[in-house]
Amino acid sequence: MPITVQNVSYTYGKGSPFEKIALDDVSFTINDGDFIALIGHTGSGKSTLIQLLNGLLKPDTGKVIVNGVDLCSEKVDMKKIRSTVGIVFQYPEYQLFEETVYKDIAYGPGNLGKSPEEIASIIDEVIPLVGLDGDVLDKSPFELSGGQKRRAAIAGVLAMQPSILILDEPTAGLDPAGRNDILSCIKNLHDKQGTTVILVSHSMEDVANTVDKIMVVSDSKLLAFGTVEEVFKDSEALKNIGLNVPQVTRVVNHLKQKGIFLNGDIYTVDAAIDAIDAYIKGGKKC
Amino acid sequence: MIEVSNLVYSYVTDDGNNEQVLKNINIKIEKGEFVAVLGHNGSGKSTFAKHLNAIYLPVGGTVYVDGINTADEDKLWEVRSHVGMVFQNPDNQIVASVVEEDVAFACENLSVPPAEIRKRVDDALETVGMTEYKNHSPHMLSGGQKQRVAIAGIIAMKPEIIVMDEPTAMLDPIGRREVMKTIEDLNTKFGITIILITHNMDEAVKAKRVVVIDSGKIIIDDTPRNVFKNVDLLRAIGLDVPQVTLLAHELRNRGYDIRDDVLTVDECTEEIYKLCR
Repeated sequence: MPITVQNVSYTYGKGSPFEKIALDDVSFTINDGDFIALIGHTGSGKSTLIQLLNGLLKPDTGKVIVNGVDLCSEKVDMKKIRSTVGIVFQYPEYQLFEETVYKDIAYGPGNLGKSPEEIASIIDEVIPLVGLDGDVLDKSPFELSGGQKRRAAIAGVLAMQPSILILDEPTAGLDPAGRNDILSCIKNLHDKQGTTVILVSHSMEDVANTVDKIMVVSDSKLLAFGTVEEVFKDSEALKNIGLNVPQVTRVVNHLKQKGIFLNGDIYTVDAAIDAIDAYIKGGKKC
Repeated sequence: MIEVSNLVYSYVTDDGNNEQVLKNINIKIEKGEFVAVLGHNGSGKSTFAKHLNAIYLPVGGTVYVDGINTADEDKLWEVRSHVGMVFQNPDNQIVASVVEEDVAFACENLSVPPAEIRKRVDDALETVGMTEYKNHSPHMLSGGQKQRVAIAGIIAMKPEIIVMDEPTAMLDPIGRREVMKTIEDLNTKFGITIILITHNMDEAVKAKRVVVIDSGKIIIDDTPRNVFKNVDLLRAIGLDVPQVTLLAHELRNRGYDIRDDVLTVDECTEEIYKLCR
């Protein structure tokens, strides 16, 4: 089990006038190869949560265990944890700094003590994973387009070869085509490399199409954690905290109120089409 | 009123090529309109927006704002006081350490008398629903609140036109809703002309007119209903349509008799109900 979080609480600015509880008694387990969306509002505690998962923050109480290592213990090898759990922060392209894309991607593995030969082969591996072309490697990262910069920044995290990858709103500010590209490259990573992925997102539509499980954080607490079907089933609970289920799911729910019961759990356009088709062809019309 | 005629914008790249960003744009926007501008990254839509208050000047053609040529250097400040601009990142637009001082910043630069500034700032904060935060420090606010403060700063200049360049891109769903509500109010209650650049199709649906820019040209200019009908075209140029519009479109492709201009969850429910009943 790669990640176990047990009764974790965290408070910012303890004892100061700005004291704020960010996480309150949160527990969950993430399995190998999970593909999870983490959803919650600004201020809900989700950013605190992801920073706890690679030891950037330490919980006030409770435990965070990654691959059997308790991140709170004194002797923990933080370098190892940081290479196990990679975090791609929001707008990661702001963190590009080197002269060339190659050097920028090489920075992380270099700090982990990899030899130049190892780094070269890692870079060969990660560049196609993020859908970049080999010729960008010699360019300055600042010459790239917005979408390319973001991929280069993601490649820098992948180069540390994390087995758990956390991405904080990786599609923010991209146009629909750029968003789909990034999402499919993340899905690809998960499917082909078996990487455990935690994807922070605000878009229910994107989430429904991509992940297997959803974790909802609200008001410092874990509100829900389950498969996409389980979490979207309780659309009222999501609505109460200002989140909406995908548009098609709302259509299906409204139809239910009008007495039309479509089969199955529907949260993508394709599923809705099939269900409506089946309903009409199945002669359920009266 | 905005009148853009044969607008061309180009620049010379590092390797000496002439890159044409805008190719012969023609558009008229009347007072009080609410126009959404769509286009993928690099389509030229932000470049277009920056021509509306003379941040960029045309390489060819003209841009007139309320009868003023934006290329007329002597009228630069006049153009900017007619057209306010709100950008994507609220943190880049806030200059002061107290909310009301931030809102007053532009008015001070325009030499508005202090008593008048007081009134404009109060009114602007009221309009965006941020009055109770007037003495707060902006950095303690949420993204949506910060963006509303930035909008208040623009409103205090009393512009007739506000151009918004992806004002909700960095906000969470609650922040988006707050800002969209403010934008709609500015248009309907105060008659301010709104030009909203966005990637979010659900926001574009709220406008009265949608302009789609691709490779530096306007390719569609119509009501949201008529624009989003073109599902295949929009997707081909890297844009999206609302999920319900796509659902109706796909059902039509399967031979069902369903309207092709569905825009909202309620309309979609109604149409599918008709099929299933």
